[in-house]
Amino acid sequence: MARIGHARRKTIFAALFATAAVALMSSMTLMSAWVHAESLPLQVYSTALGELRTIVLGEHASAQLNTDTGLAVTNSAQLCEAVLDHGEALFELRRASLRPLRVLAGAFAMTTRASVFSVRVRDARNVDLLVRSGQVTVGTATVRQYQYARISSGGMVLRDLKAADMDRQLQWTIGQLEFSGDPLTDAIAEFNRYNDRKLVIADRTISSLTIGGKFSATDVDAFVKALRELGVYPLSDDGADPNTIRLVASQRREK
Amino acid sequence: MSRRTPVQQPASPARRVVMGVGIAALAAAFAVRRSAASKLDKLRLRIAASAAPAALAEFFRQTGLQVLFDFDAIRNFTTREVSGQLDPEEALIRMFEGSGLTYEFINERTVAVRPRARLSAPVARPTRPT
Repeated sequence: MARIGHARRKTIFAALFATAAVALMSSMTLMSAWVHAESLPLQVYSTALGELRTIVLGEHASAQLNTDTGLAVTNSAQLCEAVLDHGEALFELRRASLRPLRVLAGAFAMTTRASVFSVRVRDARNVDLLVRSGQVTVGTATVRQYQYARISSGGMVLRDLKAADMDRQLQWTIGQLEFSGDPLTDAIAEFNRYNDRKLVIADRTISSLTIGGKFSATDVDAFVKALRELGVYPLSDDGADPNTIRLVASQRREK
Repeated sequence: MSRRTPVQQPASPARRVVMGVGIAALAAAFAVRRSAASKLDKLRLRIAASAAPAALAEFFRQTGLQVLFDFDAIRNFTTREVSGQLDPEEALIRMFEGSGLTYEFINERTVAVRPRARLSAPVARPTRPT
């Protein structure tokens, strides 16, 4: 192979360096242009499975993120805007402010000037809203204290809640799950939001079981052991996937 | 009461795409750990006599213990009032006296409750309307 002289090597290196620098600067400029598309600083936050996290959105405003949640926040003099990309968050705007808080969740926008409310993105077209205090505007509708709204592309269904039901729905803010006559299928779906190990009903005779109680959202082991007292057992021959616990009604197949 | 209201859908600006990319780029993992009483801790408890599901809800709120029960299986049982400085197991014994209910501690912080006449397997029941 022909040798390349020292000066020539320097020229090649300089050219490569310049090309790389231009490419880097271009991508940084492009990203910067994206992020500052509207000249607003952007903060992004996320949580992993089982994680809870509280963040400050601005003066008098905060958000608590539930498991597996992504949130992006922009602040301007006129508006605090939070995009709930996925997951669930409890927003608190603690006193009336000239600068409203707007939450974009799925395909929907919610605005408030003073309230405490929880938003859950089930998917882009289905969002849940719980208002613990104050009121939240969604399109032309207003959701008030102790109301639950299921929002979809077809419209919004409002339901009044008792204070105890509201508290139960918001137990996730302290890492807990509370059940009061919930089908086992729903309870399992809730546990699965918080844990890598997934529970699966493998026996339809237990799917109609209704349960009550309270558990740490990440204590799958204790929940599965307690289920045995209710006649529900984990399958013992389910070694194929260690992250799946299949539940059946027969003790003969107990682990 | 439920009612249906039309919902205005906001425009989807390019900024949301950027935000989504930013969110996807971030990750952190912390398991949430919270402490609670164990079955041996003395607590000041006051739980009124009532239907078992309501009494047990009050029990786990006051003790912080994890509790699991078959809601429909115990909903027609009633429990006795308890009041005073008690550990959670003492409270359960007094609550369940003559009730037909029994309990099993799964660990120091977890208790399962069921009728004393135990079923070998859950009985299929029609799903309750929501």
